[in-house]
Amino acid sequence: MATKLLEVNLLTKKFGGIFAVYELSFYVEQGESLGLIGPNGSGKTTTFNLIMRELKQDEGEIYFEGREISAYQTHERVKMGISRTYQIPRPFSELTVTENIRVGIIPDALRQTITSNRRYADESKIGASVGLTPNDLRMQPYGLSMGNLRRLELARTLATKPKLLLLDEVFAGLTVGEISELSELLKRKKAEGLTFIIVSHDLKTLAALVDRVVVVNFGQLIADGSFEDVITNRKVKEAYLGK
Amino acid sequence: MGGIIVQGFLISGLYALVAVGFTMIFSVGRVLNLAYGVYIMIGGYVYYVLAQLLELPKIPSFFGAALAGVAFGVLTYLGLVRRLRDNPIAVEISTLILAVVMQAVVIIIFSPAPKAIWPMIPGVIRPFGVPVTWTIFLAMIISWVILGALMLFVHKTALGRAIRAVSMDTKGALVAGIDAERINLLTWGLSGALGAIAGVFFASYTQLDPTMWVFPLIIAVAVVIVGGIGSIIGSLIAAHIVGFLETVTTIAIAPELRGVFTMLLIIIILVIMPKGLLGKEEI
Amino acid sequence: MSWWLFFTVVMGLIPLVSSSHTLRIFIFANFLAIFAMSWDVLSGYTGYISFGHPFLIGIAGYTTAMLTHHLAVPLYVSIPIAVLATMVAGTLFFFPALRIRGTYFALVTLAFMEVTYHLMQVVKPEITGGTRGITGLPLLATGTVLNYYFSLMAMLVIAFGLWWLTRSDVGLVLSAIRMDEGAVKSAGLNTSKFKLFAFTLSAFVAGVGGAFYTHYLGSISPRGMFDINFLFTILVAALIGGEHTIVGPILGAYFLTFLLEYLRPYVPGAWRYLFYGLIALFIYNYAPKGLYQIVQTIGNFIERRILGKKQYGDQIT
Repeated sequence: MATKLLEVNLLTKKFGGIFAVYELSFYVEQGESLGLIGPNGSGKTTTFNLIMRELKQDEGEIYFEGREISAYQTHERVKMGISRTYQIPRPFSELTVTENIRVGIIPDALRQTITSNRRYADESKIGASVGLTPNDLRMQPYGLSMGNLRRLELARTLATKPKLLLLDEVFAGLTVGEISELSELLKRKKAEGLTFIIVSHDLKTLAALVDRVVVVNFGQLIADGSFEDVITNRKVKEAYLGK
Repeated sequence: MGGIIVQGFLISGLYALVAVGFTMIFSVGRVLNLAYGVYIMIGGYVYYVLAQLLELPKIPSFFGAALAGVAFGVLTYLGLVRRLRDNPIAVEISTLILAVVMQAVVIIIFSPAPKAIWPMIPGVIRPFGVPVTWTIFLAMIISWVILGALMLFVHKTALGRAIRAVSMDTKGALVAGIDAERINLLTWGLSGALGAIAGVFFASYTQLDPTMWVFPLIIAVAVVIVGGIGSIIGSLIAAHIVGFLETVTTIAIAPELRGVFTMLLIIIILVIMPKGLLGKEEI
Repeated sequence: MSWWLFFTVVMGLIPLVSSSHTLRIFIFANFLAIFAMSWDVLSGYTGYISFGHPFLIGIAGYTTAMLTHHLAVPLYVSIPIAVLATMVAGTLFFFPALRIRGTYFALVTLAFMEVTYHLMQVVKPEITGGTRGITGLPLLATGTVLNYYFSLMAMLVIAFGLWWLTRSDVGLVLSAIRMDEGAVKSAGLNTSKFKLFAFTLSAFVAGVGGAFYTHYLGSISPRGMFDINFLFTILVAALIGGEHTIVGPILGAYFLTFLLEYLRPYVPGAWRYLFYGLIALFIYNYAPKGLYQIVQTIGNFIERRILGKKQYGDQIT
């Protein structure tokens, strides 16, 4: 019995005269991993921004665990269980990796944060779970490879104990080896019950990871189905390759 | 009543000119140039030196002041802002320090005592029976002319559209082949010129004083918050709201309370309408 | 920890070796340190640059001055009221701007300070003392030495309190807000809440400093309190000393105050600000960690070579 963990309905966002997202509707079920693909500029990152309230939609609803969440701020949505990574990683530049992860762990409560003594405990565990070595943990972002930066962001995101993870171009800029390691990591997390929406241009890697795919172009949904169905869809081909 | 309307329009025109130079930089670079008030101060003092100390004719003095503004604007950009581009906090602090340094320089060169500028055009006219100096009237006319020209420039010329493009989306503009560096130089120079011109009139309206760079900055802030960024018309309308608010307060309520209602307005707008009246995005 | 003890003891012994005149310089430095720390805990950490600290300090000063002067309220009542007034006024006027973005916060605080400066001179001069201010206020303590210990105690208590606070997770969150506020929100933290905390704390310290300072001087006037030069001095002290360190501003305050003293006979009024400004610009751009980093380097050197402590990362053999 699959429940819809996240559902967006007729989501619309306009910038000036252009619709970045237009009447977009799709859902992802608990435990599923959904691919979100489309040509450049088709509105994928905007969709994530809307789900996370980093942008406000003009029209449409967003449901999480059955509840309409449009009234909630970004940090509240994260506390509910949705978390995301960014296309270009956003680490805290002057903090070490451990401290970066800690920001994800810290609860949103003043009293607790004031009296805490910054005793580092879970950070290394979380870091290890995404493949960061104790040596990596001591470094600052400027010394990290892209692969480790993405791991850092993943660790910080996982520290918020999400139910749903939005991954934005998480394979971009990685070496082949890093991609396969990350892919294995995501498969393990999936087996642990985490739900994903993954945006990626790397269709090959995506194919092995996702149960279903949603395709957007110019902010509109043009296909929704299994990977094989979607790749052979005429409209999808036109979107990527032109008529 | 007539006095309020006339004074209101006069001061609003000047405020609009003061604000537009500031808004421009803010829109294009999202950069807070706290040294903007200094362009106004420089405009006033340079005009004073040229027209009163060296007794040059008024029009060349006026252009001299504008040129000084351009130079200083470009220098601010090249010397400070460009290096600190990625660090908006550093720009805020550095431009403030620069402003105080310039204040010290002005005190050293000119002495801290306020000076009065001879009117650009002597005499008084009486629209609707309200006495108004020719200079202030001229200030308002020139402000409107400049703002009109600016609007035409920004909307109708290629260069102006380039500026708007950079202000909306720098990366996109770069992709479209626009030389953002050239645009930045142009914008900062233009902002300096606008500030300096406003400064000449501002000094005529009040007086020359090494601390005169603060008040115009506050006005510009109020106009930007109330009017929003990205819209010259928004700045115009906001300038008139602020201008009339001040005029009404000064004439009808109590002159000491002049800045208070402006402050309240700023707070109210920030709470209710963070985008401002016609702003294109949240600041 | 041991550094704190060392510093306290050294500072406590100063009156034994200094003239009254020198002690007065130290007192001023202590107060400037309090103001600079109050600025740092908000602006140095979160990056929301406040140009309104003179406004906060002034509100505290004027509240306690007016209460003691006109209503003969005792100090132990007027000072807490003044601090409360500062926190309330600050939150009321600045919080809307704090919620939005650092840039606008800076602008609004600047505007407020300027407006208050003019207001205080003209509104109800009978109560506020107008341009000249109010004099003949009750003093906290008589005699330079006592005043010195008072200011030192206040400074150390505040310094230690703020230092302890910023070492906790709150300090981490505030610094993270400075680096990337959006990412902090994405990590599930309500940044407005933390910013308000930093602001209230900053206003509290500024209020305490302002009230104490007023009753050290025994007078208050708009000139000394609400003007740009005062703002400038606080800012430069914090910047030269080293932002977001709490200890840095103390160093900066002392450095600036003593520099002022030594320059006084040689460098007339306006040149001083020119000087400060250029030094500040230079340090801020090329040595952003300021004096704090220099002192830290020296401290580390002492710990390693002279005390023989092992540092993290040293070879075992």
